[in-house]
Amino acid sequence: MQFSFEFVLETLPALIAAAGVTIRVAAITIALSLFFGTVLTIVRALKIRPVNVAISIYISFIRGTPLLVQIFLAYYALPALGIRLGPVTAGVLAITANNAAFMTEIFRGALASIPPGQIEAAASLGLKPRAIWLKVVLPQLYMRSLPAIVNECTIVIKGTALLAVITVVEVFRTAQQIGSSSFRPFETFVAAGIVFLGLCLIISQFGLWLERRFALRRGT
Amino acid sequence: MATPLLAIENLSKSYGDVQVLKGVSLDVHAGDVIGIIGRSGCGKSSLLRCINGLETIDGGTVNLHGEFIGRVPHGSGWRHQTERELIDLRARIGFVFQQFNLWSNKTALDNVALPLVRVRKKSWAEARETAAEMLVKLGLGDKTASHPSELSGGQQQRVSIARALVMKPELMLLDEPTSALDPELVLDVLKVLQDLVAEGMTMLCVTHEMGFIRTFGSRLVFMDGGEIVETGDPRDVLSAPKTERLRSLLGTIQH
Amino acid sequence: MIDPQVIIDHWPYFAAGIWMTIQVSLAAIVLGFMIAFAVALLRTSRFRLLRGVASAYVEMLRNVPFIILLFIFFYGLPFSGIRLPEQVAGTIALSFFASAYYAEIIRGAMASVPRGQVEAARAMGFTYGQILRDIIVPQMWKFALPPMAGITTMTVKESSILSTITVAELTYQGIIVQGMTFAPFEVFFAIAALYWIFTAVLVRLFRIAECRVGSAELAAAARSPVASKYLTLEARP
Repeated sequence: MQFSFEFVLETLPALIAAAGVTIRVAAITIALSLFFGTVLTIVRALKIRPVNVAISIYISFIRGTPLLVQIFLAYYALPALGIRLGPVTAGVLAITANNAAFMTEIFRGALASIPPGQIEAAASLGLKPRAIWLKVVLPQLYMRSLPAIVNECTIVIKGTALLAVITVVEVFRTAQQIGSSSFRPFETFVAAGIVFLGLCLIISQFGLWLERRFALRRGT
Repeated sequence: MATPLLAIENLSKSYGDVQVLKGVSLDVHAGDVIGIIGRSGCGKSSLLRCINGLETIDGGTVNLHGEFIGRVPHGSGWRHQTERELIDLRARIGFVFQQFNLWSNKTALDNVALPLVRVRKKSWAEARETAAEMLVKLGLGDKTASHPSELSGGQQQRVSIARALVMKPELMLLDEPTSALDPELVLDVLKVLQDLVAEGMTMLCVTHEMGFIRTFGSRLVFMDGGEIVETGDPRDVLSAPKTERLRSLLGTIQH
Repeated sequence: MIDPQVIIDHWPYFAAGIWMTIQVSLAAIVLGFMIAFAVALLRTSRFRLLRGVASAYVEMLRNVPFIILLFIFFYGLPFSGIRLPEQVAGTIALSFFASAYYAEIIRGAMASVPRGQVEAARAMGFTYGQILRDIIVPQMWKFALPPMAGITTMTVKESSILSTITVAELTYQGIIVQGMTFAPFEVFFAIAALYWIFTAVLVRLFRIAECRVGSAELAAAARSPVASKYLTLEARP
């Protein structure tokens, strides 16, 4: 059989439709990771030894083990502990747990780069810790982490493809289904690749736009 | 008049919109020791870098012993030489940098020996022997096994000069060789340069060391705004500058 | 109830899986690095076409999930008439994937070698090949090794995806054992722990290598934005 570029184009619409699932899962994941990452960062700043050790172990585990295995743990292993999750929920849980760890590390680096003088100024002005966090630290944290966060977004998008393995019907799974029923798996997977290429490039461009927009405000 | 060793004719060079060399012409004869002075940005470093092709030439010619460097005739016009073509010519010109630029992953001995091995295709044994002799000659015999990070600025610059000399160049280009050195180390390097002059090496030296130029130089060139403004015997030019620009420059430098 | 005996009983499967993972990862890392070196040189070529091709290569491999790249490669092979065993195909696909990340690291590391030293060699009549061999490659490691640690662990973790084309590496063995024992928690946790150990060992090895090559001094000195532009090019560890 000859490679058919027309077929690549034919499958694109179906795959782009499936990308809706990808985007939704990614969006929820990123939102949750940003939230948990922030929470963990604040908790870490409290410097409660056992808690920080636990957080470090968590991050080390996430960084040292494959996402695929983490997904299997969420979907197949949790039921053994009595927690039965649907594929999408398990997927979101796994990727969020994965991403939050990296977000926390990103925030750690960004936090270290904030000039301490700013915190001291805020404190000497009488601002309460909550206000210092909300008004001084967090905004700077997010702005300094922006390129890394954008990079994480593309990583999350790519990670959702693995959810096909636990039966989530996103782009890759759809491509597998179309590929096997049409006997043209190569073309379908190429099309799937194109869809992800498009998604990631759009996100990167958006990130660059965001950086440019906030570059004026940073003044560092 | 004997044919010059190095003939620069109407040399022009621009970086984008900025023209840093505006038609510079200069003849260098064997044995000349030419000091080039001027404010920063006047084009003196660019001039040196154009001579051995580190920068591309936009107009004019540079001629070493009859051979064009950098910009060569091509049909009825000109073209730039490729890096490959420049290799042989560069091997004949020694270049000493303000920042020494020794290779930090090699010892002093190997810094001097490596060009002989790679460019002159000598064996490591032969190259290291020659290199050792040269380092001894420049007073660095006990530093052959040291890495650049273990050497003082003056020692590094002397290794750098040894590295250039060991290639037996026809011409030495020195771009502010002592400007990056602490004052007490400058003399060590000047002593080496002094010996070079005595041996008859042809040198073009961009420098602020007026004393050295007055004593050992055969010609002084003053550049400003990409052009040669004054030139002549160093003692004459320094004691009686003709232009206001040179007078004000000399006023700011001890000489 | 959680029963660790399951793991011990099926240890041979895990051992075989670890061995396969090591083989695949190591091969992909070495091959990927070699390809990356070539790609990095192309990226800095004088010719715009070569630079463009290399850039497109890197962009495509970095923006598509590895599982899709793997399937494209695996299902694309028959078109070119080549039939490869899954393990080989998977390793090659993983090598290409890794090379896209290594290439950026190498490119940044080569550019970080002090330009003056490169220029001095140029001024003496060295060819570009000689400059690469004597000055750039020996000195680029202290810049390259820290981010390389991250990419290398990433490659080991991505090797788990080869289980989807039935390469009998560690994750695949885990799926097999899980199917036999119905003890997913114990099995996948053990698998995870084994990866965890492997990546920890790898990171340790890199730290040792970094010490020998002088990356520590570099990290202290390079708090500059320019340096971190090169030092943070990895996807992530």
